[in-house]
Amino acid sequence: MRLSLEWLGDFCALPSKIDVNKVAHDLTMHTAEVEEVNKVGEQFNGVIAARIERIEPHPNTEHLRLAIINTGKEKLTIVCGVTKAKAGDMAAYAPAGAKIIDTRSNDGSQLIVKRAEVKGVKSNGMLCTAKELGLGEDHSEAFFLPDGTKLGQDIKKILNLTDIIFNIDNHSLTHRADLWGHWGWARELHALYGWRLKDINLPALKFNNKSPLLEVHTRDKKLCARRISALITNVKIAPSPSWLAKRVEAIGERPINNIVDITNYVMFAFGRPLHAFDAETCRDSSGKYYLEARHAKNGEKLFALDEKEYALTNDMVVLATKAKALDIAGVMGGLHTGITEKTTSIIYEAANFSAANIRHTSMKLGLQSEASNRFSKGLPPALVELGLKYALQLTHKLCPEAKIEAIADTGMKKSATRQITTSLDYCNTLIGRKIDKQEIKQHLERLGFNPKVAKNHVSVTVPWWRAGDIKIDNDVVEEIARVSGYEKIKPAMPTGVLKAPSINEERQLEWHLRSVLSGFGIDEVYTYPFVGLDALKKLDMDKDNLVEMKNPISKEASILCPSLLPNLLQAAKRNLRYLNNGFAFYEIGKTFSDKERLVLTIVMVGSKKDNERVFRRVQEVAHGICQSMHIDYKQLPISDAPSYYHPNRSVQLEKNKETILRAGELYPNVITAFDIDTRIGIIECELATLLKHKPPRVTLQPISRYPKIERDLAIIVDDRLEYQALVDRIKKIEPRLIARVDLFDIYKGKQIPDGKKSLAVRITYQSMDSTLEDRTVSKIQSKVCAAIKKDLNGVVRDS
Amino acid sequence: MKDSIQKIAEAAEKEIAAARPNELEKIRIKYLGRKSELTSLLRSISYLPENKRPKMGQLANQLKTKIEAMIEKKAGMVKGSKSCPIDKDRLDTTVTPSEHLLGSHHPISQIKQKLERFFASIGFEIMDTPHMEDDYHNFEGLNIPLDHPARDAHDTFWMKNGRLLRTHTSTMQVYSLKTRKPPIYTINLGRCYRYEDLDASHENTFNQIDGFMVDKGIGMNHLLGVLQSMFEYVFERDVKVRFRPSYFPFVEPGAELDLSCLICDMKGCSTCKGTGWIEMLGCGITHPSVLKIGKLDTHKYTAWAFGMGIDRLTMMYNKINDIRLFNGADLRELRQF
Repeated sequence: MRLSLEWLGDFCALPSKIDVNKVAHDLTMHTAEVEEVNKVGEQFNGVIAARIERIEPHPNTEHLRLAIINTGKEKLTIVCGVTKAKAGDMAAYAPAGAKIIDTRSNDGSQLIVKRAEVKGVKSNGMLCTAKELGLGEDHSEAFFLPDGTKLGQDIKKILNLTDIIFNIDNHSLTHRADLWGHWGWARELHALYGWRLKDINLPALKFNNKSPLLEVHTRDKKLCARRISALITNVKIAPSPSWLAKRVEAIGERPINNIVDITNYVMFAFGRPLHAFDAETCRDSSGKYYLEARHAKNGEKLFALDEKEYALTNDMVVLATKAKALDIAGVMGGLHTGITEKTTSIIYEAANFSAANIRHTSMKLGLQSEASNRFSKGLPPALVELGLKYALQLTHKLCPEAKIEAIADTGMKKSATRQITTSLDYCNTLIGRKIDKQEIKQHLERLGFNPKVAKNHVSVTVPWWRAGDIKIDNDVVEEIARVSGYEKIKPAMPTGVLKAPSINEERQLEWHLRSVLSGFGIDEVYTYPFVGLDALKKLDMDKDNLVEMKNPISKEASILCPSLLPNLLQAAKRNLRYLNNGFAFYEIGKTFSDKERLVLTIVMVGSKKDNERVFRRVQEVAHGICQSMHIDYKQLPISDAPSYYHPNRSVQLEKNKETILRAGELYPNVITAFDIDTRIGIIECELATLLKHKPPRVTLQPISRYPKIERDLAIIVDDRLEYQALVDRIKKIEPRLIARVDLFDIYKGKQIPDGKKSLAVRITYQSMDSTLEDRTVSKIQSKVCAAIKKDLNGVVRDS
Repeated sequence: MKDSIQKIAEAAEKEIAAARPNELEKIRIKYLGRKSELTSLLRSISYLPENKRPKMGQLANQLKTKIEAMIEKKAGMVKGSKSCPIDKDRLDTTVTPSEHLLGSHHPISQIKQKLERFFASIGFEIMDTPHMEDDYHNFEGLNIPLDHPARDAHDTFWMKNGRLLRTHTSTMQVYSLKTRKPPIYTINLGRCYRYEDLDASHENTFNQIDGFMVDKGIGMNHLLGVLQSMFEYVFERDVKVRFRPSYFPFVEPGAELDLSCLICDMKGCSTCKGTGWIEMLGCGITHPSVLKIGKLDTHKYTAWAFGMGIDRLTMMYNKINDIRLFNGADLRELRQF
């Protein structure tokens, strides 16, 4: 919101000299953030008032004219393009050296006026247009000043362009309803600098609830605790006097007429929204003025001041006649019930609507206004009277002939004052700084808290204008802390019990996986957690338990990811545009379905040539992960896996019959669906499962102290025989003595019949408790050969 | 004479064996040169009796050949010589491996790790709370009831099942108080979600850290001290910090924390808009209505909490100017970290 320094001066006595940048800094450090300080009229400088003595044609061109002007000191000739200016007009004159807006640039940059010769005639400066002064859009005519203006005077003085505007960050005012008007800020200045607050003396309101002219009702007191309506007749609508227009302009509003400007003045002075109805629109056939606050009817429609039609629901409140709704209470007035030039009688409405209800209505309708912003912060009840009193006083000043016919009040009750006692120890502990009692007293006094300081505590009475945000002792402590200065708090490390924090194992595992995967050359990425049905369809993913969003950004991002794969595959597709020789990346992130899971998903993109490499790489990484965690796992063929796994190029690693991770290639159709034309390997696992199977520690296993004997074997077997079956069969023969079986060659081709393959394996024999004799080994080896022949239908080649 | 030959042979053999490659030429001159003992010996053969000449000549020439062979053999090991076996091992070492051997860690992960390490080192437990939340943990419990204006700042993603994606990591305060007894020192880092339009500085999926400390005698000075240390740990240099008043419903007194601008060292620049300070986070003394979740005596135990965006911190740290890099998964960018 915008704050005008001059307006602040209406409520507190400003010193004659003010360092406005210091004020802005102090308000930022003690109250709320001042984002910007603007000096009104800073767009020009050195422009003075001059009278046009006469206008002459330019001797050399028809497009320009010569103005002979009088600055009070001298008479000068100016070349100008204006057409309406005539002798006797007072105009804004920029002598050489003055600064005005450079209208050729559109960024508001300035130019310095110079003496110049224009088409053979010397011009002593310029007559300025409104646009050149930043005071309007007109760029064809001189900027005229009122008759009787003193010649040679700075036009900033004449136009009263001396104000300073502070721009406040509204976010920091969420809890301070009192700071949504100048009066509250004047109190802050009083608290910070002791600048005297001006008294506001207003006569009491004379209520007349039984007026035969005005009938008011409030149907739901929960949503509107207090409401005052004032009927005024004999009102003359006219433009506001310049002081009021200036106030309204200062905060960025357009002056409209005296009554509307009064309501705006009250809103920006006290944070008190006020509505003025044309009373005739509230009059019924009997001639009585009638206004009730009631729930809207479902589907009831209303044209608001923004010329849009709103469909209301019965959780909203409207102000209405018996016939129809006139105004969305606390949010926006109706289009046809406002003040016009023809209005002669008005009703001022000042009400205390429920903050939550106004915010709710405003959000539901998507309609925010200066009024709804203030109401939703929770306005103090006492402000209803103050605002209306001030409006009546201004009305009387601006329209002395206006007559207050009736003031009706619904829901008047005395609001209780709140007392809070704060322990000084608690205060000092929270702030972390001992603040002198006298200082505390002074701060609270200036804030209007009427403090009573005792030995160990301070008691305050919460002023009515802070009823909304000062509720407990912490609130009082904040007042003391901020006025005395947050800047004075010195950093200190807390002292406490030395205790190692308990370990977050899942987080530790995340870091373990990151370092393992980094070693494999795999990069970490993050992707969005949203996905669309189409992408899930490409993977033929289970549609059960999908978490659908109520307010998604788009259709393609309307479901919380049940798997990281879809978005990672899209990322792979994007990266393929730049990287083509194989790359891999992973994400550790949350998936959402029947429950939230932390998963690791790796995507490995192969190069087009390689047939086997992607799978082998995926397999290495998968085994590497389990090995790095010392899990005693087994590799098994993929089973019961999502259909996007390639059935002949995928495996799963298991422990105790539970799948720890799946690794493999994507089903070719899926790859095509993602518009990718290279093999893609993936690994998926859940961190909680990995953790479950991680042994708590490694315990040393004894190694054999006896020599090993190695025997090689070349076997021709059926091509479909899986290597693991061969190993299992061999080991089964003498598990205690066959220490290892290692494959060192696979051969298909010449000399090997079709449908067969040749495997070369090395069998390592070793005993834990004796030196093996050659004989023993040979005996086992021949059993091995026999078993291969018999059980695996293999042919053992000469060894 | 036979003895002399023997002596020369022994001396030469010893010297060659011990010689450095660059001494071999000197040794060759010494033993085989014109002024060498062996040369003069060969010349003196003509003075021997005729019958002894062939034998001695043969011996002397044998020695000459032997010394030449020893020198040649030794020299053979020398770099550059034709017969050097090392030379046959020559590889083109200018062929270098891929410039991207190791996988990179996401820059946010790296800053998260720094923050985790800092807080673990001063006794804070790292928590992980759900990302899909209910209204209570995200709002109500943190003193933000329905239709509270503070909700305006939390544009929330709602699910059809009535739940929401957490808008901040502060949900952790509710969990900490429900499940732990003071002293409570906890942090929570991770993703948060807000319904925002994306641009260079706004993300709908971003990362936060929340810190929470409940103990006896805790005040704003401790909050300031811990946060200053945190920034010094992350940036590995001295920093200044200050509080400014602000409002968050779950703290009172509430503050925003400014960090001294590390780009201009507080001289004033475009990043700090000439103020020398950069707004970093929201924080304050935990509101008693939040502490009550833990059924604590709110005057015996006091607490502070802070919440900070990790994305912006990472952007400052790594001089990243567009927040969309983080969820963009562009390896050309991420591999730099």
